[in-house]
Amino acid sequence: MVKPDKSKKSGNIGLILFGLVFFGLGSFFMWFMALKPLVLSYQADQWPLVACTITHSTVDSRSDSDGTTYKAIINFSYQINNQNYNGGSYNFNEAYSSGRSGKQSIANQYRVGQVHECWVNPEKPSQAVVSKDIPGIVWFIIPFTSVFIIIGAAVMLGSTGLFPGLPFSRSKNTGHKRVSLNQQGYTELQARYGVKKKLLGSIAITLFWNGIVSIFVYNIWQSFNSGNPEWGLLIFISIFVLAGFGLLLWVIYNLLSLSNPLPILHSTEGSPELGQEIQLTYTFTGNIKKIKQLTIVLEACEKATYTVGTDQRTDTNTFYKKELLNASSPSEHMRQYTKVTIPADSMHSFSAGSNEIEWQIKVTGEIPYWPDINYEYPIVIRPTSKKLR
Amino acid sequence: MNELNISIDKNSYQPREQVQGSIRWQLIKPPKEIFLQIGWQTEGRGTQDNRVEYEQIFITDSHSGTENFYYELPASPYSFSGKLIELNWFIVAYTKKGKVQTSTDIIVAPGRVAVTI
Repeated sequence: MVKPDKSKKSGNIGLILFGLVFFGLGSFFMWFMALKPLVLSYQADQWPLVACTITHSTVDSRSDSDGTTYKAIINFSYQINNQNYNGGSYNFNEAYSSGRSGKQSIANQYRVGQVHECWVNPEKPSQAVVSKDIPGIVWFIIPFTSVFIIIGAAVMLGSTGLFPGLPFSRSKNTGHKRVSLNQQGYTELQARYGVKKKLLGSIAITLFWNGIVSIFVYNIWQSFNSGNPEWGLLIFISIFVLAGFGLLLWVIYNLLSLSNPLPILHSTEGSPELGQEIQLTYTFTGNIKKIKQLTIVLEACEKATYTVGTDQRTDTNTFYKKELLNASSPSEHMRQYTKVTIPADSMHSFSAGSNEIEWQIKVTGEIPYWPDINYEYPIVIRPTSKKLR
Repeated sequence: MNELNISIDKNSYQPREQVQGSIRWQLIKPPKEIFLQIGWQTEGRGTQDNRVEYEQIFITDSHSGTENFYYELPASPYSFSGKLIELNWFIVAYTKKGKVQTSTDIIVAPGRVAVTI
């Protein structure tokens, strides 16, 4: 049975929070900068109109790294229900926006001392405006914040599985390669990573790592030379220097492996089907007597790849393992062949992008005081070719 | 009330065996097109993989009707269940844009039993 995926759940919680932040911020700004002024502008149609005297008229500005934004600040005094008020605003817009000239023309229109008409909220007389027109910025804020709200809602719904189900036709194949039913016949099996590839890979990684670390080491050396030693950096970088030393040992290990006997595997069938018996022939280049313990194993594993945040992880589970050879004497090593029947009731090779069933033959050889032999030979297992009834 | 049903001769098949079945619909609005797909999808730890192996589109102006379908299943992949991965075969029918859809699971494996690994 399939185990529940805990990592997916934690990934989902992160996505729900991410969606919630987008949705929440979008909703907040849409309400305060667009919907609230819009609603008030419509409500103001019903508000009483009174005479007001302009007491303050200016253009206020705010500057930050994105530039300067402006707002027309208009205050006025008015009387309602025999009560005097001083305050108010030009309209219901509370946001600052770019472009000074438009705001300046508003300020010019409402000069201090002039008498105009203003709309006063009868339920809250301290709220009054000289213009009840819908602020222009509303038509920009609504689509802008909608994008945030839609993205946030989509992420939240998608993460909680509440999205309406999509028909299967949306993705017809995620990268499945069907296993060929054709026989390959007698075949030399190819190792996944040859010893030369391993060596070149280790050299490349070691050069890259130590190249970067050496820049910091050089800086530290210079600081000591100048009589102003950077002890903190020295302690910090020493961990990375040790790791670089470990990588050097890895290169030396792979270099020594070059002199190991190299297994060469042949199979009577390069791509056997489930239930088929094959004979494996193994020979070695180099001195086979160096090997103390030789093991050949047929194994199958399921590999599941998934994404957590920005990381891609692969979990592996070995579901079949059969020892084909476990020999400690050179005479047995020289035997050179072994037979195996692929289990008929198992699963054939399968590869579909993120999910995989992989079969392989593993050859390990223990060499005293020397790097061991360790090779993997992938093998494609076919489904049964018989038409079953 | 919208109704879309799939009927098949059985629920488990040998690889390369023929699936015989029919779809029956009774819908408020004529569907114009009804899609039938046979395929598989993975479930479990990994990101989901899927493949539609067979698709047939029935063009119709009728509110209700029945159509038959036949399909010889491929030799692989088998239905299987492991610790990390499950592979399940399905038959799905849906109207345009997936407004009405129905699906049924089938098993495709030797012995008509999903492989347990």
